[in-house]
Amino acid sequence: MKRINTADKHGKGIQVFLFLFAITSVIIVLFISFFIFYRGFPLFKNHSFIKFLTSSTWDPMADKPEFGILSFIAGSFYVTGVSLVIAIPMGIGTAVYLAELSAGNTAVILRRIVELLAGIPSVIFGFIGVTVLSGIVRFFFGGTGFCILTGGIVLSLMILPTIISISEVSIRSVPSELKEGSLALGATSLQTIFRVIIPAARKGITAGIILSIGRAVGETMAILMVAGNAPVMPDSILSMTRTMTMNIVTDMGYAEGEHMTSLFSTAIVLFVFILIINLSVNYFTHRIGNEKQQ
Amino acid sequence: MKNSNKLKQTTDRIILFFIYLSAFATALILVSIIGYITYRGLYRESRINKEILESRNIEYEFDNEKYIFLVNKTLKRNSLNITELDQILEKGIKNWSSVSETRAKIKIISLFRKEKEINRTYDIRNISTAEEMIKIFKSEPGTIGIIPLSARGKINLKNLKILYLDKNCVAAGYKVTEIINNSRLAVLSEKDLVKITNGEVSNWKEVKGHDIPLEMLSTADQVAKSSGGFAVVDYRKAVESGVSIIPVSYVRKGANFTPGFLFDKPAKAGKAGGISTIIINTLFMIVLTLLFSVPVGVGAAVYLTEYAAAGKVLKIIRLGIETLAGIPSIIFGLFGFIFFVDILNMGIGLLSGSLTVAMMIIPVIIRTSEEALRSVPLSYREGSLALGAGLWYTIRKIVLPAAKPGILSGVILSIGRALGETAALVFTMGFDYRLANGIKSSARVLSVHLYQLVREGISFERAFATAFVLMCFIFIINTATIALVSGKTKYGEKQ
Repeated sequence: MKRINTADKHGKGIQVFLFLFAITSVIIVLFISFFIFYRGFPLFKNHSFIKFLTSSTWDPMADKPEFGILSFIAGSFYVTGVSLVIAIPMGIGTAVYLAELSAGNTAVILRRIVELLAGIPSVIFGFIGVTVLSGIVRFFFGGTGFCILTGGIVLSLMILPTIISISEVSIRSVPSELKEGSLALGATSLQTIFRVIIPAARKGITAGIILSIGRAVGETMAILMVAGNAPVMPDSILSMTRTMTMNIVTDMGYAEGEHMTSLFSTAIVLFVFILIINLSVNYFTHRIGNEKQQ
Repeated sequence: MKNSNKLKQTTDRIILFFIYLSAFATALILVSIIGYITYRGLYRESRINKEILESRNIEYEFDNEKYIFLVNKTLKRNSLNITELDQILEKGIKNWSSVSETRAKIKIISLFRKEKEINRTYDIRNISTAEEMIKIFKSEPGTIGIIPLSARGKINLKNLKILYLDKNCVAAGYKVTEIINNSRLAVLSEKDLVKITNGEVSNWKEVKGHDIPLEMLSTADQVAKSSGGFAVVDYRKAVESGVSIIPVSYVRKGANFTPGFLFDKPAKAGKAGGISTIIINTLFMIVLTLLFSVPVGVGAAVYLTEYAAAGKVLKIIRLGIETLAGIPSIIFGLFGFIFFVDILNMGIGLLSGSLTVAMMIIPVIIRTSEEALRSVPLSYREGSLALGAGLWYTIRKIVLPAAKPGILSGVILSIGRALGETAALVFTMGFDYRLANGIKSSARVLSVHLYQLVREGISFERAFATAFVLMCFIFIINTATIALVSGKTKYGEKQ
């Protein structure tokens, strides 16, 4: 009979090895942070950091180059705002439908649709933006069709799945006693949903929205294709704009020297913003976890 | 009291309507995106403006004698216009790929004409018999055979076809194309052209032109002297006489996506040919990416579920994974560009690109693998450990096999993410659409190709076909993930 050796010979070694794999993510995050700061920080030796954030003059190729990214921050802010205005009501509405009002096959199909929507690459969204949405915006509002509004619509489609799935999960995780109690007291099902369930799921929904803000601010390709990419301060929802991500990807192709450094400085602002978003999502989700245990 | 109840009911209805509307809109968005891309990917209907009409002549007049042109049936063009033909005869165009999707060297031969003007003007090889001509056609697919019209019956046209010539154009009097009130007749639709030639039009304004009487004429010189003249004339003569030429817009309908699109190599920056090399590059990128990310991701998940004890270290690792998952792809692209391309000196190529994407999908693999590992019942582990097996042996032989479908579905999910990635690849893997010939060779993937086609305005039709292929891949991946996840439940009850 063949004897199988089932004992661990190198148990400790394997554990250390697996630990290294587990710690890889942390190392990558540290590396990314280090290199982005390392390459972006030198800009502030010659240019003031405050001016970098508060000036909207972007003229990196001039004899006396000026680096002000306020218009890009504003661009990111505006397109994200537009996308949230569209996606939040729609996403929460769909989540309520999925969690409370739908049953059977409809829910299964709709959930699959949301999953598929989440899997569509950003470049396809951008492409749809260029070929369809820009035309629609041009038809209704005039102009070129490549503007904050189009960018916001495209982004809203992209963050919709995030909002829907996280809101649905948090609506579902509301204890059924709350719902039953409300119904037993004579509230209608809609009253229960809006007065009891959604307030109870508030933190999860907020976490989903914050997460989707992170996705919207960090999105590059789709927004690059539809938002016009003009490095000016936007003055209306129909004006062309350039976001921080667009600024990085547009100038990367030819930037040199200090101009290149300034792109990494833009990345620092973006990165810090995303880190804050991540930490607050973390904060919100852990608060939920703690509350559940109580 | 009653009123307020009614009001409540109305608001309830409105809210309910809104909820149903959002759910419906979400479904509609996806269906219309997929539907539109499929429709435009498979079918095309585009307008092309042409100065040279598509009316076809078969003969080419030279030195008062008429000739016809023969080509192989496999050639993807049925006609050439007069300028293209001139360029071919003058050796300005040496390969069919410049004017069609066929790649073959152009070789011109002629039959039954020796020492004549045409052979002296252009460098054309003479052939004495029809059999020899057929032989050359067989050995060189890009051959053009010139034969006199009178000799048409002597050649067996099996496997060959007559190449038609587009050489006429619409000539109009000088007033017709003048700019009046900021508008001018810039293009004539095919329908209007037919109307004019049928004699149904007496004034240019009937075909969206100015208010000028339309005069049917026959030669270019006559038109040049008239103010509202119209004639269909030889393109070269029209250019010589200096009349205004009005382009005609043709509607092109037909299949946009053909099997050839999948199997042909791209040419002319994606304007012609297919996407075969780009699909293979994409597969290379995905294989390399998985090679880097799956061991790390699954290993990390095993550590987190089987070994890690609650504490500060675990918290830091979890925070690291969550942060990594939230970093935008452009930041990964920047990091890949300085770290892999620059500092590690890997250059812009497959290796740098794959490593960059691998970093992005590690969190996805960790999360899904962890879920799969946690759903393996504790009793499996306890049974194995109770029988005296070590922890690692138990993980290897019991836990991992049981969690395999879940892990696999996570891997497939991450393939989907890698497939759609663009921003991180633009500066780490480059744009070269040829087949990658090494691990450091620049390679264009599907998503980057789509981006390039749209950004450079190369071809929207091809962009739609590429988007269609990309969507097919995403759809297959999504379906596979769902199938695997639903198969997973058979491993017993969840914890």
